[in-house]
Amino acid sequence: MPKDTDRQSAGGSPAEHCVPSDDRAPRQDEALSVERHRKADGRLLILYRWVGKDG
Amino acid sequence: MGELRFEELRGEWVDYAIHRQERTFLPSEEHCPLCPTPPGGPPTEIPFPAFEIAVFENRFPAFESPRGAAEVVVYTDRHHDSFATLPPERARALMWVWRARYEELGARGDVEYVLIFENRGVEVGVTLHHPHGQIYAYPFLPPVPAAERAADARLGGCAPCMLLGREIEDGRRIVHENEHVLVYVPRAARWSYEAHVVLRAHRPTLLHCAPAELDALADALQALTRGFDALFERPFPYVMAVHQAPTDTGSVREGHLHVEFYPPLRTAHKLKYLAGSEQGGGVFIADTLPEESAAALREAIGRAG
Repeated sequence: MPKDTDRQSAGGSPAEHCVPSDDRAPRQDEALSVERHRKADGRLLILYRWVGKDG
Repeated sequence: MGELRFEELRGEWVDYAIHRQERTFLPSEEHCPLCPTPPGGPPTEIPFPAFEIAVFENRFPAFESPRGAAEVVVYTDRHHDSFATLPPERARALMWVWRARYEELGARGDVEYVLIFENRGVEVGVTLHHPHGQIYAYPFLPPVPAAERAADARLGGCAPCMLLGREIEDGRRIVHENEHVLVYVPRAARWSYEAHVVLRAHRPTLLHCAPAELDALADALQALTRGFDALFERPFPYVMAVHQAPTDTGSVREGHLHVEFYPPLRTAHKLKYLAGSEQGGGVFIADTLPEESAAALREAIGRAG
C-alpha cells in the first residue's frame, strides 16, 4: 500500500499565509476602455482596449 | 438550449449541449471566425478591421442564460500569435479583461462559478487555432473547485496557501518565480508537466489583486508558456484553468487565485491518455516524477528567456 509520507508534514499553518486583503485594485475602467456591441444575432460583443492603469 | 442531467453514481452534473456538434472545426486561416473582418469582406465574429481584445458570447454555448453563460475571449487580432508570444502589455491587459468578466458574470444570479480557461492544441480538442480562451459561467459549483474548497476544510485553512508554503520550503519543484507569483510542478502532479501558477499572497480572486500582482501574474504565465514551447521545441498543447473563489457564496474570500496547466504531452511525441485506471478508478498513473519534470521545465524556461 503506497503511503504519502510527506502529506503529514506540509509546513506551516494555513492561517499564517492567509492574510485577507481589501479590494485594492482600481476599477476596470481605469485600465481598459470598453465598447459594448450587439451582434446581428443579438449576441454580446465587447471590445477592450488597454488605456493603462494611469489612463 | 442545453440540458443538465445529474449522474447519480458519480454525483456530478453532465451538460448536454448537442448543438455544439455543428461548431466550426479547424477552418483554414482565410475562414477563421476569430480574425478581424477585412474591409469589404464577409463579417467574422468580430466585425471590425482591427481590435485588441474581444469577448463575445459563444455561438455554440455549453451554458447560456438563464442557466449560466459561455464566452470566447480573443487575445489578439493576429492569427499566428499565442498567449506566449503576446506583447507583455497585451498579456497584462488580458488579466484586466479576465477580471472584468469574472466580476460581471459572477454578479449574475444564475452563475455560481466562473471558470476562465484556454485549450491549446488539437491534442486537447482545439477547433480554432486563432489565439483565444473561453469562459464558462456555471449555474452550479463544478467538482474541481468544490474539491478545492473541501481541501480547505480538510486542512483547516486555505489549501493553496498551505501547499504554496510547502513548495517554497522544498524548493525542488519551483520552475519560476517573481515578486508576487510562484510557479511550480505540484508534488502530486497528475500530468508530466502540470504546473500551478500561484499568487504568493492570499487573493481569492482577480478582483482582490493589486495592479502589480496582475502584472506579475501575466508575466509568470508568459514565462511558463514560453518555457513549455521551448521544452520540446514545438508548440506545446495544454489546458489552462484559472481557479478563483465561487461567486455564489456571498463570501469571495473562499478560494485562492491560481492558474493550473494540464499539458497532455509526456514526451515530445507521446501523449498521456486517460485510460482504465484514470477513467474507471479515478487514479492517475504518472510516467514521470514531478521533481525531474520540474528540472527540465525550469531549464526550458531559462532557455526561453
